[in-house]
Amino acid sequence: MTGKKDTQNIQRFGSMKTADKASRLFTYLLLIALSIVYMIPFVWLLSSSLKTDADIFAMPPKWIPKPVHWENYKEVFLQVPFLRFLGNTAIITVLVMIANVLVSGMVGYAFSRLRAPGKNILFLLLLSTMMLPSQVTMIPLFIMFKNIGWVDTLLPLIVPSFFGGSALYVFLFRQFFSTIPISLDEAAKIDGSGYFGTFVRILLPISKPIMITVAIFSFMGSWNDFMGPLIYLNDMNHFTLAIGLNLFKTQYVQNWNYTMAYNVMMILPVLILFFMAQKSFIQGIVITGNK
Amino acid sequence: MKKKMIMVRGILLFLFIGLMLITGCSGSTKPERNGEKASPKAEKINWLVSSNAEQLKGYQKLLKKFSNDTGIPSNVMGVEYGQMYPKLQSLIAAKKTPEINNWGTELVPWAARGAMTPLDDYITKDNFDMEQFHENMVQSLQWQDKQWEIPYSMGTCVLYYNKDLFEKAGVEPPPHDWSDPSWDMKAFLEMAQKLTIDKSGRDALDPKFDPDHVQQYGLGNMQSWWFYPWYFGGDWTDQDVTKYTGNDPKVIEAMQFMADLANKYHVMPSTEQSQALAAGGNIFMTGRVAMTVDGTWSCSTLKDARFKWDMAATPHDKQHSIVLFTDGFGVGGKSENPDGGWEFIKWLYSDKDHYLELLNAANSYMAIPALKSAEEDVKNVLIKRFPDVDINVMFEAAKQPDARPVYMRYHANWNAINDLINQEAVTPIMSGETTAKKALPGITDKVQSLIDEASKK
Amino acid sequence: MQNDKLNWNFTVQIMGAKYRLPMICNREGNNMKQDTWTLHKKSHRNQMSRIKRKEMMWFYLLILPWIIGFLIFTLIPMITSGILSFMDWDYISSAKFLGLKNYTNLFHDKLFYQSLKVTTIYSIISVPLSLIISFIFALLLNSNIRGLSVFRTLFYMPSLVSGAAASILWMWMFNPEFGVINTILGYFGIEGPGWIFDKNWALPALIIMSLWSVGSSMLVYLSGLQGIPTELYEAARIDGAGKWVTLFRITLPMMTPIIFYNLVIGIIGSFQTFTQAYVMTNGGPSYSTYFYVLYLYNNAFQNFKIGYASAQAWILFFIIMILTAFVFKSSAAWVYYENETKERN
Repeated sequence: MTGKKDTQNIQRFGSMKTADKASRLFTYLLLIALSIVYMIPFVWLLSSSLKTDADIFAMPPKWIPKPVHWENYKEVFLQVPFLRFLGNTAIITVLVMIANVLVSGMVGYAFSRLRAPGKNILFLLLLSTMMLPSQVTMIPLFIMFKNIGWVDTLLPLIVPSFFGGSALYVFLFRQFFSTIPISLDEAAKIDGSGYFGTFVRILLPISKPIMITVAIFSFMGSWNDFMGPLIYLNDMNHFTLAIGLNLFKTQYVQNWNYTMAYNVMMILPVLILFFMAQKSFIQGIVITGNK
Repeated sequence: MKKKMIMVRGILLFLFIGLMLITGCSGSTKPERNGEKASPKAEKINWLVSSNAEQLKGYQKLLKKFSNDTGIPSNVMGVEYGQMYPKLQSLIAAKKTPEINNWGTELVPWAARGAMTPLDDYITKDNFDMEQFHENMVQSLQWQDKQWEIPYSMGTCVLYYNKDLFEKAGVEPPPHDWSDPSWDMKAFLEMAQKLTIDKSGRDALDPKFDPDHVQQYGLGNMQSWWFYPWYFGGDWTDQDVTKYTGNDPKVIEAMQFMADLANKYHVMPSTEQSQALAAGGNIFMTGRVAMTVDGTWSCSTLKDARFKWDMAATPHDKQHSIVLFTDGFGVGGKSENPDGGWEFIKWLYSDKDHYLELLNAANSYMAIPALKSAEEDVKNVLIKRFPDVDINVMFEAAKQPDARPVYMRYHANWNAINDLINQEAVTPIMSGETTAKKALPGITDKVQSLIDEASKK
Repeated sequence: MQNDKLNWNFTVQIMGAKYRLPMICNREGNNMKQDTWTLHKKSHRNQMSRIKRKEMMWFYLLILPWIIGFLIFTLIPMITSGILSFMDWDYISSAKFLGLKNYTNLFHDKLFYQSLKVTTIYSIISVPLSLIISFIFALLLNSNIRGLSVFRTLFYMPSLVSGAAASILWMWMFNPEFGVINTILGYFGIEGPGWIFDKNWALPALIIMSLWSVGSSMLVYLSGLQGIPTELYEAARIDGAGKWVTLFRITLPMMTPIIFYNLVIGIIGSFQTFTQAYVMTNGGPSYSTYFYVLYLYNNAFQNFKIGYASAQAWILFFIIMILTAFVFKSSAAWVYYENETKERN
């Protein structure tokens, strides 16, 4: 019996090696194919940003613009205060990101670890806030902000996130913390740390992947937020990038090429940041891998 | 238990504060005004306008001049056309209605709800000269015997045609004369058929014509269904918008004819294809259609066309289908400084130069100016910009006695009515899913109830 | 890890054999699954209630920012919108009280049902598809292949594009005349359909588009995957468990909290679809993409009926709540949390 098992194991081992290689190759090919499919819209975006409007709806569509109109990008800068939009958006995004990571983390920790009466009801309330469509609270909120004089400032877009702005992230943190053995908390407590200390010193560092995920999501949310800035901002100097996208069209005509060029420039900073954040993402893996 | 009470009290306190914030001491936002309104208050006036970045810069310059001249501070807010409604409505809800707006012939839903201030008193008080404008434009901005806006320009729809394609097919171009009696719907259809060519070079009159492989269409589209019935002497409602008349045989005939253009005669692409081709901007620009009915405002796009084109008169049977879209300036209702808003309008027309600068900023020259005295100036600019185009066609259109605005729009529930007729009748008719005979009477009750709803208020 | 804290008494079944896994337990050596408060079972009664109170106080202290935010930025507007749903307001004149009229009108409104139908179909198809696809991507990217970060960035990139910008992009992609998709289909000799201009293909087009931005849920899965203790995999491999078994017996169960999260978020999000329909099709053709929130938006901002729209919003709210509650209830059966018993959640 044992002998058979041994050979079985060995056989399995051997086939696993080649199976391993084959599956690796397959994975690679699959990934490359999928990447191509997923990148097609971007290729088209880039190519359109370098054409004239007439070229964009040429038939059949040309993938490579001839000639290449680099000046489209210059035009964008001339027509709109892009850098100012960028600045405004950056301020909002960074502040909101910090708030979201820290505050949501803290609240998610409390929901995950601490016990108190009424906790379940509060959690349900938390979840329910994600379900109300924003279109409706929009007007009452606007009236409220107008009455305290915050309209046409960036404040309504920043302050709410310091007050547990998004239930989404709290929920995410809470789920994540639920996957971590409570014994870690116990160990910390035995070492004399309080609740807050446990959070800051033990759980937060472990949740680096989630922190980065939340940071990325929050970043994307603020960067692309459209309705909020539309309603609250009046002066063009206060505008964010998302609203600026629509400034290349009138009722009758849209300058698609400038719109696309603007779009490309709007994505670039985020892309770079994301790529850089990846490294910390991987570092986070290394830490949690060795639990 | 004690803790619960504290919690409850705390929550109630927050609720109270919050409710205060929302319903908000509206008293505090309006400072007390004592003294008579002898001069326009020097309070900032706001202008909400749909514009792109370039136009906005022009408007800002214009407003700056206004503020310098009159001492009234002003501010312009630019918003994309599609976002006008939510932006304006949030401002109104927060009691920050902009003083100046530009609804034009779309003003009724707003006027009906009190979002606009009628201008009659201002006109009489300041002896504002209404004779300096074209009368039909002034009239199109009236509703329920009140003048809601002062016009500044008017656009209409004409028939654009691709001169190169006509030459290639050896067909005589359409007439530029609106009163040409031979230019009826039959002649129109025939011309379109001669210019619809399939893959093998056969036109639509040829018995062996292949409708599934059309290379070139005689007609791009007929623009808006709002004025399809006019070609045949009917209309969607009566002039005062009290009754739905879409089930009238003339309207049914008109809608069926338009649908047949694509589905039976194949001179026009299907709705689907037409929308797809036009998605980028202008179906005419693709060079694949010989003619199209479109607004005069399209000229700026067509400037970059790679073929020669011109504008002609649209056909007419019993009457013309000439739409008048008037743009104007109005004053917001319940805004903080309506007098200041009126001052702007006065200032705008006090000097022809101000008016011309506005047109320049808006870049909307291909429209008939409201100010009669500016007509020559505008014509000169247009001739320079479009040397090969017969711009007189546009000017003559407005002079036809049966040219009219879209009466349907003069109703408080206009948006809902528009949506309803479009989605439930027009779209299925044009796509061939149903016939006009079936669909148009079918929506009578629904449309009528929308019409009656607002009248009850 | 100190040995006296280790206690091999949690078991997992793989291939019929039981494996014990290292699990840190409390001092009493009791199983993790128990109530953490029994840790101090032997403590004095007073101490227990004091600790209990301390924990409670900290709980409320830590969630205080959220409570404040909830009350001011959520509850108040919610109440206002609730009140509005019983009124008729056009922003300009004063609001009129209507009682339940808005709600009864909604239930007789054909468009209400149409928009609900469109949204439900979209959700039922796109949510599971997205979940599966993003999970597959996450799995593929969780291995040790070169260029990992490049791939990860590539697949996340679509989510970098804002909703409106993505909609514009895909509007072009789906254009039957100039669009990329039909052009590529043409290379294979297939004549592409009318997509967003064809009432039978518009909704499928939007569903396909939703699969493009699976990057977000993929990231969440990745975070979760990293969180699975490697010891589990080691133990499985040692006993010769194949890839598929590992997948179904270890990875999937451990990932259920994350799957749960993505499912809930997915349902909530898909029911609130708006931007794509607004930018690309405006609800057409023939109402085939007339999403619920689009109808809401039109009522609130085009038709001057914010009261009616508020009623719509509350109905949507309840629908989503019921669905989510349903998912939550079912989670007891399939979601596995590592640290707390089911009742604790």
